[in-house]
Amino acid sequence: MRPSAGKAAPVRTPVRGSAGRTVSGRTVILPSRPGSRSGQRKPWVGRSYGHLALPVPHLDDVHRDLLDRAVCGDGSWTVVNAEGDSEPGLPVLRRQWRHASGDSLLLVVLGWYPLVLTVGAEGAASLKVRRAERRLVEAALAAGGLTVPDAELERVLTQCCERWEKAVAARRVLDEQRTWLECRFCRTCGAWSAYGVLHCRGCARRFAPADDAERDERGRAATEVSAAAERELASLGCGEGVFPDWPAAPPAEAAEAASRPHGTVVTAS
Amino acid sequence: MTGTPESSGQNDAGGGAGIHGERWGWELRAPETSLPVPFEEQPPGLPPPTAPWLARLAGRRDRSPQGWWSHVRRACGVVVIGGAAWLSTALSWEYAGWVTATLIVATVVVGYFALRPAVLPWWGDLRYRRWRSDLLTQQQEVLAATREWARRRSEHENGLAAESRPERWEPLRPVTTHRVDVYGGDPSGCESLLLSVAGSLLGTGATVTVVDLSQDGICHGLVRKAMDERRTVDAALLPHDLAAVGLLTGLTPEDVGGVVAEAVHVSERDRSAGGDKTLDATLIEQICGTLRGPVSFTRLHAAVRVVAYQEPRPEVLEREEYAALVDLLGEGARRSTEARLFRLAAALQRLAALEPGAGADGGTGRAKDSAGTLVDGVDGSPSLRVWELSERVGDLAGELLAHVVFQVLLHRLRHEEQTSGRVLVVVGADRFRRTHIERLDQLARRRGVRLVVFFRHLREDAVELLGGGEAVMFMRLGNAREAEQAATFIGRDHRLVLSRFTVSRSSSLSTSVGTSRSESATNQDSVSTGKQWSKTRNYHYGAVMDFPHDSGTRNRGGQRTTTTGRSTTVSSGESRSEQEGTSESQSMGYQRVYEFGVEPTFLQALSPTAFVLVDPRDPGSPRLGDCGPEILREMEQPGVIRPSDLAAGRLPAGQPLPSAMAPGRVVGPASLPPPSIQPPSFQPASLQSERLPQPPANASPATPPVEVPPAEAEPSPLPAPNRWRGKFQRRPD
Repeated sequence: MRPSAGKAAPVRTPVRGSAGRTVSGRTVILPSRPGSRSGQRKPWVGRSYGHLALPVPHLDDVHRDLLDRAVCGDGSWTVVNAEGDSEPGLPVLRRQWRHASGDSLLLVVLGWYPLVLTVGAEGAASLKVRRAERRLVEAALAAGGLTVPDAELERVLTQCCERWEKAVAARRVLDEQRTWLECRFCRTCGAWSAYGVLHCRGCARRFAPADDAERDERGRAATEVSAAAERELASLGCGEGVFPDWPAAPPAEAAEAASRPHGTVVTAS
Repeated sequence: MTGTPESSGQNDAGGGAGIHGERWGWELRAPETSLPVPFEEQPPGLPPPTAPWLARLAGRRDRSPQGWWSHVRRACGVVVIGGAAWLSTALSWEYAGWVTATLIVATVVVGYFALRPAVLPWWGDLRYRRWRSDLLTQQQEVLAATREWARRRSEHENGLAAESRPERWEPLRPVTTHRVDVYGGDPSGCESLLLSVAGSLLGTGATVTVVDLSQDGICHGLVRKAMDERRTVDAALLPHDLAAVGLLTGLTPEDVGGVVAEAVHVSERDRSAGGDKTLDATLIEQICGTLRGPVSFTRLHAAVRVVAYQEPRPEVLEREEYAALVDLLGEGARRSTEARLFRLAAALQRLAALEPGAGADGGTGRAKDSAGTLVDGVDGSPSLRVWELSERVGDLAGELLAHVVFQVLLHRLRHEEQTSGRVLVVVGADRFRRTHIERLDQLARRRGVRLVVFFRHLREDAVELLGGGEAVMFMRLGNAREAEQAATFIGRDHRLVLSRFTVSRSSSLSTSVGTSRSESATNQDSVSTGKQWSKTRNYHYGAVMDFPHDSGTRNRGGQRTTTTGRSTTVSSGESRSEQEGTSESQSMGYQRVYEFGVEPTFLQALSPTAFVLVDPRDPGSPRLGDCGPEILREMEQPGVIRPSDLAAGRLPAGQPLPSAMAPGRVVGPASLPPPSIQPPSFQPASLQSERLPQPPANASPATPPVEVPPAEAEPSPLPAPNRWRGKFQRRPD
């Protein structure tokens, strides 16, 4: 996958284990990391499946549409049972696409925080299926995703379970702090009122400045606690700590990383 | 009535008792949210998928060499060893068995390793499909559990949402059941307030008496409403209906003396009360004692003139009355009281001029029906009685008549029986002295009559009366001094206010250019000269020839070296450095101040129908309310006007704009003392009495978390944390 002299050759098939990908006409050589196993073997033993990690906590609308567009971009693929697999109020755990010829591609969510999913042919892995799978993987990589090799899938999923527990705990903290962010407490009658009201809901007492100061102080503390919990949730959701150097660093850090010897190398096409 | 809103009905949800009970105005209440109790149950997570085979297969694959050459080598190895095995069958039987068996085993082993790279992917795909099938089965159970969890959570949140209440108008009334003083306001605002108060009290079955001495027609709206509601109304316009009212009817001579003397003296504010008042009362009492028929101002005036001037008998007096009046005072007494008689005659002349007809029977007739009753609620009496002082009456006569009316009011209250359900409203009480208002308050309190006193201004005696009753209502007080008096009465409190806001920004750019040049030249000359000399001699000892001989070497040499060098070094350099820096800082300082709870400017800018209710028995005092009749119509026909529309000045087509909401006149509770530590905000004033939730200054509730939890944005097992905050922020405070 080396560009020939004088003419750049677009890099293809990261699904085959290559670390390269084509983004807007440029070839981006990803830094070496265990998850992608670049320059080594292909990440998966089988030929008809692949595992991906995306820097989002769950499969949301945006990424679902992104994957749909990647698979169904040529018009010959359709989503199977889209409504059934995305029932309102329930998380999306699977997605199936079917080709006009009858081939089928199935996506299954394996873990949350970050989102880990596996995609593979349902039945024989024909060329059409493998091409669609390749497009899907490329789209996921372009969205900041990462291929998860077979050897590391179990470790990643174990981490997902642990991170899910942490996310639930953080969400619980947010729910508890909502009380102090949205309500105020009356010391006289013990009733709770909305945060900004002047009079107590229970005893109709007008809150004194001391009450307001106490409410503001509690609100500030709750804001700080909530902000910390939200930061933790964001960190858990984007998959920070699951793989080294993933998710991609912010622009400033990326520029700094680019200056390092083994950083990102951009080759103009 | 108690202080709690539940018992006082202040929290009635808009309709029912809230509309039809006692109501002084409306208070706009902020949305009430339920306490966000977290849902205790944890959402079901995904089952931990175990796939050890994946790692094993990957390990096997990794252990096998890669590259096409390795495949060629393994294939060649299979061929060679297999061929050797085949060829080994040609060996003699003694060795062929062992060799062939060994080679076959080797062929199999090499064949396994040769075929493994091709078999592993196929095996991996097969295992993957089995594993995925099991996974989907497990996930169906997760989906079912999540569905149940989401249903329970939805029930939990619906239960919480049922406890919340939207923004609404709620009836407002003072906790006190006795005296309420109303200060300020323009005629239209006072009319709205009177309509709201008395109108709602009439609805509760109370008997309301309104003495409107403001000469602004404040009671007109109430009378119209009562007549529209087909209530019994007895409205009298003074002095036109003076005869019908019969102010002096039923009064004893002593009472008449007291009424007239008080009225005359109160109207002369510049004179101090003293013995003259007693003398006047005595004179009037004695004069009235000589009158045998009904007493009217006309007859009383004629009688005083007879006593004072010894005039011929006027027509309104009988002969016997005249004779008695002429002989009432001796010459000496008449001369000593002549000045008082002149003043009384002058005052009574003005009152007599107000009496229509001024005949001998004036004051009779209809007056008999209402004689001695003013605020009674006996059966058959009107539910609304109004005495209104006409705006057409002159200042002097009107002042005098107002005081007479007030004194008659006091007299009648004094003789009332104690009953309940009676309300007395005195409008335009600015002209009365503090002692008289306090006497009225005392009598009303003892008789169980609720008293509402309207003052147009907060000055003179009204200031001394401020707070003497129980609840106080302030309507718009345009005068700055009056507004400050009211603000002082409402009180001061400590609060933290933004006292300093500093923004500093600095930028610096420095450029330095330096040039350096250095030259150095070095000359070096060196000369070295030397000589070397050496000599060696060897001795040999032997048996045959033992003698020394010189067999060594002798060297001699000279050396001379001359070195000449010259070096020149020139170095030049130029350096340039630029530095640019920009710094920006903001700082805010808060200061604890002790200032008005309600600023005077707020009271000056109140809308005509808005008021501030200060009730020491109400823990929520002060409250801001509005008595606009539009709000009642909105409550009776919900949806016509929404509070938010009112605050924003939007109304449905054809809907009149409430006066309180008129653009440029809207000043509302947003100006009421906000919670002490509030971030600096420049919010438009509105009529909301409650502030909508605002986060602390350093809170960032508007910014949602970076990640979207699975259960909210999408069907996800986790609830979103900011759903309520977003709801609160839809409308500015």
